[in-house]
Amino acid sequence: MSARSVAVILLVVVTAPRLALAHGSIQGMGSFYGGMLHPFLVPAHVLVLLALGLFLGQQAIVDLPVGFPAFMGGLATGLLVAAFGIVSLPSLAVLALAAILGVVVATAAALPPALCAALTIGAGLAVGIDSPPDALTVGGRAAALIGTGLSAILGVFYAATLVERLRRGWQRILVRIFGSWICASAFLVLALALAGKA
Amino acid sequence: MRLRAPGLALLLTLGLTIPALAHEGGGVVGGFASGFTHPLLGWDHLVAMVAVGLWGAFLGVPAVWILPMVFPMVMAFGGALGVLEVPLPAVETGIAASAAVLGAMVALAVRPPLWVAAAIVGTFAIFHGHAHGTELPQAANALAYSLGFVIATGLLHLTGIGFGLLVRWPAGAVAVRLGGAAIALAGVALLAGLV
Repeated sequence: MSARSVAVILLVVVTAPRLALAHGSIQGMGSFYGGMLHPFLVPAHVLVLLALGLFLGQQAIVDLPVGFPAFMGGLATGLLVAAFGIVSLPSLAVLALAAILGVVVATAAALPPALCAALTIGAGLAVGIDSPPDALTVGGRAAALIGTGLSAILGVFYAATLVERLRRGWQRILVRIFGSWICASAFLVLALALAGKA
Repeated sequence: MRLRAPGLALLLTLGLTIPALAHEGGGVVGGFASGFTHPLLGWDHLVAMVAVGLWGAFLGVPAVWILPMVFPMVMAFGGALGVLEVPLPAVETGIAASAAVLGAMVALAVRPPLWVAAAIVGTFAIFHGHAHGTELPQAANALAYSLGFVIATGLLHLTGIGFGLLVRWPAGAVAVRLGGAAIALAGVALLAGLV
């Protein structure tokens, strides 16, 4: 291969690369803050965390062991699984949980504590496992995971405590309507994935 | 391999090209925006959604919140049918008929039992969902698209409810029924292919 050919190939290789935008790029953002933003940049995570917040607040179980502590336990476990890359999770699992939580919120069904715990732990696990860090260094990966965990916990906590304080009839109805919206959106995308078109 | 200046220039030009993103049509934002505007830009969807809220407010509690809650959930079922390419006959006719029937319900002050009202609204929701569902696979981001159109649908219901709450005053009740009649007429015009 002549020197000119090598130069041409080099020119093409140098000019061809594009930015990798898997999660959007924000200049200057560190791993911790990138991790903190992660749950709010992935639509499926936003949906399931919001649904969980509505669910915990509606069932008034935020401060019970089957409520917020169960979520934190599930999330921590899921993030550890993601950190070591033990298993990956189909993103459909996150959406399926969002759809189930949406139905429960929309119908305002009173669930037994065991089922509440299962849904809450499941949501935490799913979000955690589905948040593998992008950073290359161990420190960066740890910072991203801590950031993801912190923002997911804060997001669910704020939503749940706000909903738990809503006492008026129309406010409770609004929560149920939001649940129906979450269920409808998640269900449609699940159907899309099942049809092999996602 | 012989490559002269024009060839090199062409290669360089091709290599340096980047996507044109003047309107940021892709990704989550583009998906949400196209989903959100879908029910707003089609008259058939728009008037029918407003009619659901209007009828709910006209029927009072609990229909005022049950109908707008039933609609998106059954619409999702219809959307799933559309996504799975399950054929549904006369989808466009069903959508136009929804405006005509729901508008007529308000105009004629029809007050059926709640389950009948929910069944009527739910039936029409399947047609609307099917239409949305068939467009879902083309969306830039399917989840953002579905969130956009579900939220827009809910806000249209809210518009109908807001207007429908006038029903507690005598003059307002007349205005609400006239609004229902206007929606019914729009539905008939859509059915006749005049719009």
